[in-house]
Amino acid sequence: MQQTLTLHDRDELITPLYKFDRKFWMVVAFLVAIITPGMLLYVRQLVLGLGVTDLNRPVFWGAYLVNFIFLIGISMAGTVISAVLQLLKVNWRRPITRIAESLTVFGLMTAGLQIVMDMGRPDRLVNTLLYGRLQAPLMWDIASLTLYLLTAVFALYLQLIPDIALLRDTAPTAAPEWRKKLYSILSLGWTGAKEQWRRLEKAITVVSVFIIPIGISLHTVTSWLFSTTVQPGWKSTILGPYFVVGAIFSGIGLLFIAVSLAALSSLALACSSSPSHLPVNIINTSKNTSLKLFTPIWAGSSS
Amino acid sequence: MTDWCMVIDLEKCVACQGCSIACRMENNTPVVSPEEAKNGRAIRWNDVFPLPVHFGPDQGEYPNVKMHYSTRPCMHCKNAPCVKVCPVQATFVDEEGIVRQNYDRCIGCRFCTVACPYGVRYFNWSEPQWEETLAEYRNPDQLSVNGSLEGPAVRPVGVVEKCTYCVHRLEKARARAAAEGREFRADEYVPACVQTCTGKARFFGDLDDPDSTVSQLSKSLRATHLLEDSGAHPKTLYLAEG
Ligand code: SF4
Ligand code: SF4
Repeated sequence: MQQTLTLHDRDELITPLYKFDRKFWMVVAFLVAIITPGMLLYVRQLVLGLGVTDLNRPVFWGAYLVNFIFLIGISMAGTVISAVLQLLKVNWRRPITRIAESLTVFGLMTAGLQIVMDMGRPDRLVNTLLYGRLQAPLMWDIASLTLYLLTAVFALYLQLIPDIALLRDTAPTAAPEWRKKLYSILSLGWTGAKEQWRRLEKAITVVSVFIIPIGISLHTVTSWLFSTTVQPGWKSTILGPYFVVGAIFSGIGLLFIAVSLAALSSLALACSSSPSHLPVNIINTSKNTSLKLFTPIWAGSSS
Repeated sequence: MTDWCMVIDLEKCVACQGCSIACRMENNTPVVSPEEAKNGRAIRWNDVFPLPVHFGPDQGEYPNVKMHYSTRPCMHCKNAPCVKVCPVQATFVDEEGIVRQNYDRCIGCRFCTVACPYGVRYFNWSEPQWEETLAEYRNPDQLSVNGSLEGPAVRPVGVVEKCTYCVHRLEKARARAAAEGREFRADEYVPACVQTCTGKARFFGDLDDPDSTVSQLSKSLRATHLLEDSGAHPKTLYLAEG
């Protein structure tokens, strides 16, 4: 069953991947304008030392770690939620899963970056591999984050295979050689046969089963990072469940924002390889339900 | 096995801060500007401070005030949380019970600073600095074991440092004994603060040797540890006032 695209879809979806219009460059310029000062300031921190951050005693950890926790939290949304939807065989999940999983992957990457930025000696990062001791909480975190990131990338990739195959088949003749080659390697010989779909579904289900415990481990481990210290207010056993629930809560929140934005531009919906459209009322119902469900839990565990 | 330990007799301490200065000079502790110090960036391996830290009505009214002072090096804990949390073994306990710090390996994650119940671990927020004349009198000693950087060696920016019981002095005393072809004696090794103490309030020695001064003092009824319930099993002993 080869996928076909209408001319309109081709214009909307494939052409922008090869021809960059003004809007694209404007977005790039906007992002570069944000990133450049940040990079400069980071170089300044590298040269002058962490003193420029205004951290001190006893505030040894500050905004970087807060960002880290935040990003870890929202990254929970993606993969774990799409894994749950996958296992429950909810059939409106498809348009959401891709958005959710990209959120996870990018959230985790940025989170890892925060830790590196927080280190006094980022040049010695390799020491964690050379001399790492797994008994140390930070190593639990590194191990868990790496595992989660790899699994999330893999899960996202699995979901993308049919789309990459589509890109391979619809590449215009003028497309650069390396891109055609990349697509044909990444699509793993996908033809859209029934058997291939069946196996892909199976693979995604297996990954989903794995990803839920990994996701939960990352969140509990991150909270233990704090519980294992002797700082007042941190040394508490409730932090584990608190972080997990908080992560689901904020993660779903971000997911709703992202899905709403995507629905606005309708790009993601059109991208979906499933023909069914995401009913807006499903978003609304699930939003309301999860808000009603999670707010008391989260508020309860934080008090 | 040797178990080095320090005993501080608070009854004898006159709060002259001689130990703080000796520690600074011996261990090349960087100096920070007053503004930085106000921002909590000062590095004080061996602080002398009033107890309670904030002066209150309990201390009486001028001129009849009663101040207590304490001094606080690293406790060289037997169950040291700093060692347990370090992801790269940059801080470690050696066979003689000294908690040491390898400046060459520390990745500056500051986990140990958050984990230490006594707040004696200091992070180098910026490149270490000395005023001109001070820089000329820096201690040239340094300790390099298997390529690790220890002792009073000038610390690079972004690593954590702390009291090491002047472990380089132990190595020096050992080397001297070996050069003179004789046995090393435990009383050849004392940290700088113990050597300098005006009130002779500090003692140092081998806790495992029942005849040493420190083991004798550890049996005193006044012997106590700082925050004994911290779970870290601190080793540095205090002899309480009174
Ligand atoms: S006092 Fe702090 S730095 Fe010293 S051994 Fe104990 S936990 Fe480590
Ligand atoms: S700051 Fe250095 S010594 Fe402290 S835990 Fe991190 S790597 Fe270990």
